[in-house]
Amino acid sequence: MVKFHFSRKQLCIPYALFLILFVIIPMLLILFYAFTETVDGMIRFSFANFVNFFTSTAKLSTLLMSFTVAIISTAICLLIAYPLAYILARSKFKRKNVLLMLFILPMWINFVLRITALRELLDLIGLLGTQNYLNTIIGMVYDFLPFMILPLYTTLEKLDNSYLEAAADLGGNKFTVFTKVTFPLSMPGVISGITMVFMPSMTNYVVSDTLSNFNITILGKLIDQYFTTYDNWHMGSMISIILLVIIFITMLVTGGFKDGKQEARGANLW
Amino acid sequence: MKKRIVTTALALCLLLPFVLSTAGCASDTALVLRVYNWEDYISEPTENEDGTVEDDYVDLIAEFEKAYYAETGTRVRVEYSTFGTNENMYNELQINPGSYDLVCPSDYMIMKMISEDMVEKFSDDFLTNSNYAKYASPYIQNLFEANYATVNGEEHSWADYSVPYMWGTMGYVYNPALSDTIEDDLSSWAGLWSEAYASVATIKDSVRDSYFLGVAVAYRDELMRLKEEYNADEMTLSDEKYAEYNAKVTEIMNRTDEDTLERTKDALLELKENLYGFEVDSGKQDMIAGRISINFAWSGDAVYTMDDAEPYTDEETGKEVPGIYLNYIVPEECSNIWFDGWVMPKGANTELAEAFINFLSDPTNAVANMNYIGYTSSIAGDAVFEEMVDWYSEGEAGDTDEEGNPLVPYDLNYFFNGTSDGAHADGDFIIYVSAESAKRQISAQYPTEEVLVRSAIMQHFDDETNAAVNEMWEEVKGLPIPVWAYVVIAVIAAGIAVIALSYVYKGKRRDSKPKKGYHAVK
Amino acid sequence: MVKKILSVALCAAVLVFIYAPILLLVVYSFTDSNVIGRWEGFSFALYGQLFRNAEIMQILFNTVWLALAAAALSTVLGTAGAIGIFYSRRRVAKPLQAASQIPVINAEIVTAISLALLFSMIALYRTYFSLIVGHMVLCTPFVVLSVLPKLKQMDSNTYEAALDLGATPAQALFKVVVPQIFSGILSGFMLSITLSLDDYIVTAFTKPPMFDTISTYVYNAVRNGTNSSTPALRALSALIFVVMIVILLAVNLRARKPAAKERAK
Repeated sequence: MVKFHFSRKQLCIPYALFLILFVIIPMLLILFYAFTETVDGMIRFSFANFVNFFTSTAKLSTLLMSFTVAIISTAICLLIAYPLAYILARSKFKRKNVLLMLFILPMWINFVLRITALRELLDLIGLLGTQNYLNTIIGMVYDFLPFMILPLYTTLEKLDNSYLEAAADLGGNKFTVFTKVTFPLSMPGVISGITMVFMPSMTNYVVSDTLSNFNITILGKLIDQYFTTYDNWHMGSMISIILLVIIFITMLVTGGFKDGKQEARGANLW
Repeated sequence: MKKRIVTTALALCLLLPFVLSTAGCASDTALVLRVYNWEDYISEPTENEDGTVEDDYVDLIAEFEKAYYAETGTRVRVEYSTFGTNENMYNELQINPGSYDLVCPSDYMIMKMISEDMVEKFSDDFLTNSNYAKYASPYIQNLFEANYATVNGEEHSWADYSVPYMWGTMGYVYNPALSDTIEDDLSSWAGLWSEAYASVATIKDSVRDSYFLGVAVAYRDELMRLKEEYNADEMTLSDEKYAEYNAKVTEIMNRTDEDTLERTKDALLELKENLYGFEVDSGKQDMIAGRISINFAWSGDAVYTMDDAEPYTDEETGKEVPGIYLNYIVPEECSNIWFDGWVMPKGANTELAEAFINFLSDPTNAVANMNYIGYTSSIAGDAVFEEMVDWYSEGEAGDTDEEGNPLVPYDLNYFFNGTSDGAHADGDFIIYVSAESAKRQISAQYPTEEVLVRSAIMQHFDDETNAAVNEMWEEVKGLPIPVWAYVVIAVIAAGIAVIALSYVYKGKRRDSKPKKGYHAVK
Repeated sequence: MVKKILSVALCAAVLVFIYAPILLLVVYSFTDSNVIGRWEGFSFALYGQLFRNAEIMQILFNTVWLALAAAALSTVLGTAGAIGIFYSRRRVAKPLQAASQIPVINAEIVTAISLALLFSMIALYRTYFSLIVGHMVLCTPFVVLSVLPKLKQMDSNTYEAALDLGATPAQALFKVVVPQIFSGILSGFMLSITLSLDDYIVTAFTKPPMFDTISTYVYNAVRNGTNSSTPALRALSALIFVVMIVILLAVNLRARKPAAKERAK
């Protein structure tokens, strides 16, 4: 009996090795690179990158702009997705799943192709090359909206009607019912949606490059630049570490998001 | 038994990427020449839209493999791969040293690689007896002789380590129909800053090229004073003051002191607001499609752009295909003369590499390359000149163009003198074109001497300087923060403050209820 | 009434926003014009060009085999990992699950450069190996995350019962456990395929120099402006849009019915 259990447990060894080799060690390498620099071919310990980041106008303003773009994109996603998810979840329509499907379907189509298509549309209506920030934000919303709709829909759909009825019975008007009951109860969905839109909006440089004609640099782009053009992997790693810290803080503030991404991406479809 | 299958399957999972990645690398016994070149930078067979192979383009790689076998009896296989930027190529060489026999960086990168002792010397035999020694333009050869890089404390001429492949200038490609004054406006680099050209122009998303543009505008006054002082309007390459004047322009254009960085950054930040955007390599297509009207371009790309934008008659259908005639201009202050040259990284098979360059330096093959790439080869010789006559000549001396204006001479002696096999005498390398055409492809293909005297070579910056220039470029790309962004941030900060305060104010009363709700849902 | 109109208007507006670019490309894939916005008459010319373009066909092939290979490997590794985690003690399972979250939560660019650092160190940077591993890093945790819940739902007694009835552990695993978690494995596999097909950033940092997937090819075409000189790419996009939409709708409409019944119980 003991032997059999042992064999099942053993199955996680390859996966554990895989995680150590290709996830843990690479992350440690980033940490290592971030706090070292190469001088005359020798690698040595240094805080230079850290200091540089927080004294560089360019990097700080990139950080600030990435934040702003991400916050606005996330806010717009939320403002569109919440009422939409609410309507869908509360509708009496028999096959509302199918309706939901229509809204989240693009999530599974290659995003480079979709962003390129959006670029053509923006070009056609004359926004390309003139409204770089607007285009980037439109692009982020376009790309990540489904990731906001889905978790919101899931929580709102599960929402127990009896709570709402009870609130109404106790004399709450529609507005109070919403602000005091519905919205607080849907917070897990809101948080899950925000975390899934906010992070990529700060880093997905394919969107900003394509739609702003390389006019806007976001944090992800900066990391890419340090690896592909500026040839300073140490600085690139330092920016990654700072990004990781931001991710970590976001997680602390929002209380983590567990399997949100997985839930959103897969479980509801396949 | 089954257990073993599970274990094997799992082991395969970890190993299969290895297996998959090594499969398909069939080994053979032929010599291998590993060439690492820019994208679209050698004549190769191209498919037409209908799937047939375009017969205008020679497959130079295959031709080389054939020619090498015929000459030596040894089979050689060329492994050809491409890169997009000098920096990408450099990174690749750093990560996988010894993986290429021949690479083709640009001027400043050649200098960097020489000074970092990354490349092999060319053999004396190659430098004196090859097609390159015989047919490369003396102007270009002299320029390579006259430029130095420091290797291990010693000055070495570029010519020992590198062989120029293609060369040209930088300038503006523009649509003359955009405005009546555009030619005048763009005779200065600063023309791009004019409000009249808002959102119609792109520049390169590349530090070095854009830096050059910024410096040219920041030091416009100094450059113009210098030009007047040396009377450079009428200067030729044989002028005794040429070297002195050119050295001064080169010094200005490669300045990297703090003041220069600051001025350049301001200039570029101002320009950024006026641009349609930055481009990696889309300038050509955007010009052709009419999406933009001015593009800061390398001369070779300019030729390509002008060729493709022109109206033409479809040979099969006889239909007139509409298009636009674009011009190329090198502004008056200065320009950049650039090269892409072959270098052999340490550990390369130099013999094979030299044989390959020797093959490409045959004027007939240089013509094939120019025909395909559109850039100007460093190789001169009869075949190249005759091709240029075929492309550009509109008649003889004294002829007139369609509107009755006399043709103007376009003097190419500085480039071709001394490279003929006897078909042309030195001094006869002149092509007669209309005044309009002199502003188009030919001016990008071969700049006039007047342009070349004020063309500076980009020098390699050391690591520290590079970091400072990159920092400046980062600011150009990252700034300015628009006003509305401050507003948004202020609003968000205020919002957070209000929420925080309201929680503190309402205190414990509200605390418990929503939390219960939370748990209920879960 | 007003509320209803507003609701429908919002839904319609969002649908237009989502599908307008896709529709634009699909419509203009049926005209032989280099520029979107210039209609040159209905024709299948671009589709003809697409299928005769050996380069694009090669890239399509690359993308598909890469997705299949990465998804298959990730599914086997991830399923085994999930089973292993499920039967391991907390002390082992917890850190493994935590580590599985890293690639899920991480920004893709950070995953990409971390792999670039690793592979450049062991001289495997930009090889097929780094490419496949890169995709596996993206996909495997999602497989684990889709299989684990199924294991938790599973009746744990069946495995023991199979053993009591004389099955070997391997038989019990394949004939009893795997069938019960099969839906999780399948959804992990499909998810892996979509993740791999969708990826740009990790691919860009791990792919061999001369290898392209649809993502890298199309992005490069935009950078180089060749998307306007290669209108066949429009046909490619249109085709992928339509094929994906049809597949997804078909899978979903079929899968929904039993799922709905299950929920009704």
